[in-house]
Amino acid sequence: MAAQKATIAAIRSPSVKELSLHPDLLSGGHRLCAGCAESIIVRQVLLAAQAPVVVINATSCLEVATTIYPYTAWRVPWLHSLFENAAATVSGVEAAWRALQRRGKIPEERIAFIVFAGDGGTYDIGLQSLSGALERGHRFLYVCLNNEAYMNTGIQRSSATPLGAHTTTTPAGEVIPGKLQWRKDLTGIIAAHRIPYVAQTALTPQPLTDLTTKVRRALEADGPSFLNVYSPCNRGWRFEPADTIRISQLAVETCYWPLFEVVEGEWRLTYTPREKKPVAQWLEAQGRFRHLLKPEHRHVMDEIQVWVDREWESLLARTGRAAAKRDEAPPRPAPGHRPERAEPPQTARAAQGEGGAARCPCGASSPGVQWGCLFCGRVCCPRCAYSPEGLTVCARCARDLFGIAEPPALASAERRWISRE
Amino acid sequence: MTRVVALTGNQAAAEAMRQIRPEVCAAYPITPSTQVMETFAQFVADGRVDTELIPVESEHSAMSACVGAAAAGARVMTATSSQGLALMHEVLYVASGLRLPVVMAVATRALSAPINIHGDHSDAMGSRDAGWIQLYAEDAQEVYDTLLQAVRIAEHPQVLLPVMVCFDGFTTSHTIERLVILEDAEARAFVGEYQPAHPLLDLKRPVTYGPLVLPDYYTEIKRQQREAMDHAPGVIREVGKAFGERFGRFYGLLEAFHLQDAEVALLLMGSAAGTVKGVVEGLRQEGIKAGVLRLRAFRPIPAREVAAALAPLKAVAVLDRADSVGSPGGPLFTDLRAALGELPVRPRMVDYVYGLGGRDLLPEDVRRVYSRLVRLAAGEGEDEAVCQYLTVREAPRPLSPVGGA
Repeated sequence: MAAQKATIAAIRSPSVKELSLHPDLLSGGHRLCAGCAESIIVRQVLLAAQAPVVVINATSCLEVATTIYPYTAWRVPWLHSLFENAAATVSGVEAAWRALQRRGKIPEERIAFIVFAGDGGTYDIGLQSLSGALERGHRFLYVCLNNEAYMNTGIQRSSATPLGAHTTTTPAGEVIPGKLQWRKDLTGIIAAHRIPYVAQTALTPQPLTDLTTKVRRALEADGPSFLNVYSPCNRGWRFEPADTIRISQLAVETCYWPLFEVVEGEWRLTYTPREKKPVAQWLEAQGRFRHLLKPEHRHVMDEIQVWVDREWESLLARTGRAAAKRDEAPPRPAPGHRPERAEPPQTARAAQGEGGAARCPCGASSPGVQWGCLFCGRVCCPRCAYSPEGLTVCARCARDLFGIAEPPALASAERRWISRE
Repeated sequence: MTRVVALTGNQAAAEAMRQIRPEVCAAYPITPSTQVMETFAQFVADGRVDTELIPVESEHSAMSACVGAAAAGARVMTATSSQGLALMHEVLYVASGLRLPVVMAVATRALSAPINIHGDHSDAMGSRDAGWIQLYAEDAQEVYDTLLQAVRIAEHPQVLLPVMVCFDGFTTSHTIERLVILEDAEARAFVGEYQPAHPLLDLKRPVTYGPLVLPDYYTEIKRQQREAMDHAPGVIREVGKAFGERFGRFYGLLEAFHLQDAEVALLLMGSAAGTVKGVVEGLRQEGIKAGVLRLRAFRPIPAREVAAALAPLKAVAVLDRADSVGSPGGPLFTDLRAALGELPVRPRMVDYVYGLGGRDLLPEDVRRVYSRLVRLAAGEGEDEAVCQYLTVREAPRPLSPVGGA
């Protein structure tokens, strides 16, 4: 295994110039939107693959836009079955390949079995099927084209959608500022399957061949491999079609979408931005976050920055670049534990009813009832609150139940809070 | 030469699968079909068959893997029951729509809720419109024989449709019966080799399987599926005849028992036919002209043959082992009515829903049905409902017919 780890890590993509000489296996003329990242990613994946390719496609934008009968954009064998079963389908294809070779019915040759699916088909509805196929160890590469929502059905939230994003099922409204939950750490979940190769990548000029290098490495793995590829969608994210690559690069430079890989269980960063940019630059470039620029929602932007920082630190720690500054997994409270209450708590809803805007003990006004503490119901602003998995826990309960120190924003306010009570 | 063995219906299915030697099997355990894959897995573990066995994480994935493997160009089989078949539902349509000749053993069982692990036909009836051929076996011997035939039927170039071989959960799946097994070489010679026309793994001729088809072509593709199904009755008969000529057991679309001169008859499918035939023999000794028509093929339904066989009768009762709530009767009954609809003179037709969730069908229950048929045949009027539950813990009362009446 160690030998394979070294072998995989040594693999490099050919130069872009050399890749450009390979035949294009996805033809032009398909109906993906102008500026869509998916066709660029797919072509790069196919250019990087050395063995003959067989593609299994989950129901997705890519599937519907490339195979409108009686036309097809695919110059390789291609199979689409359903939305949630691409990984199970490739299991069958790969097993058939083994069996037919064994019986001498097809020539003995390596085939690169590549699945393309969106984030909805991967993070959500297809997760069970994917997990099963990874555990069984079929040899295939699963590429998640992650555009952070259900774009094929018209921009609905998925568990890959970031906090604060406007989608048609998490619309930014008067009370709720877009999606309320953090995205799922799918790459981490896949890595937890202990498969030979897992990576997160994106279409970036810097580094230029991160994607193609990772495709080469993934296809060399003796077993399942997984690429989570960042796939900006100008229709869903609201930016100019010409900005696809710029948005990708910004996601990487802000460390919102870090480039890393997990080779045989070893986490490695494949790119470190020279200067970590504020996540606001990436947020402000997209219409889906436009509402966050309003003063009353500004705190969500701050919260996203805090989250990105925390995730980046934890990734640095995992990849051996730095020590973790916070506990990655805070201890859960004992069942039935409730924080002590000195007096009947002022609930978020009640506080809002009294004097218009609800106020956090730190003095900041809270944007809506959703910022009431899960445990005691007390109003707490997003700056002070501890928010595991999209929930809100006020700073005091976070201290009592999870042993988390008050965030800096509350350090000075803590005294005021106590005195007020 | 042949061997006489004692096997359960499930083991008979596994034995047929071992002899068929599919390239790929993908399956997930569910009562009462679990034993099929358990037995088969042991064959694989012992090296008695070189199939790629994929022990998937759900029935949805089982059928999905079957679709992938069949598209790749492999011969593919699986087995399931009940909730498993229900979970496969959307994938069943993909298998038939892509014209993949998957063969599946279905030990039929009731559906939740309430949860019940015992036999009835609710699961198979739920997938009757999925574009699969459905053949119903009466006993373990038929399970074995029908699976061997099913592969040839499914892979016939004019058919290319998936086939379910259904047999009653527990009654057939778990009862040990005496049956005759062919030599491996004989069975294999009968089944033949599968030659896929457009395998996905033919790298020299890349094929796009499962594209998006819009209103301009979708209808034509569905029409081709119907045409393929229209070819199925001829092929089922042809393969059943070829099997009989080689091995002495002939099969068709339906089985008639004492029907030639019958005045009253029952129409049914599956293992209950054994009980009913026994009752008919008794009735015949009493001078009652009773008969049985057992359907082997439910999809495609041999409507013309059923009509021809039942037209001369005076009264017919259908035994439906599933209800179709909200319809004028069970699924078999509504099909029978449609089949006989064109006849100028029709027998009186009534329907009984029986055996739900594994409830036994006793000879006296069957006798009760025949007595009513005799009364109907004699032209006696009655105020009983057309569709009733046979043996139910309740005073008999009409099921409310759809649309009044």
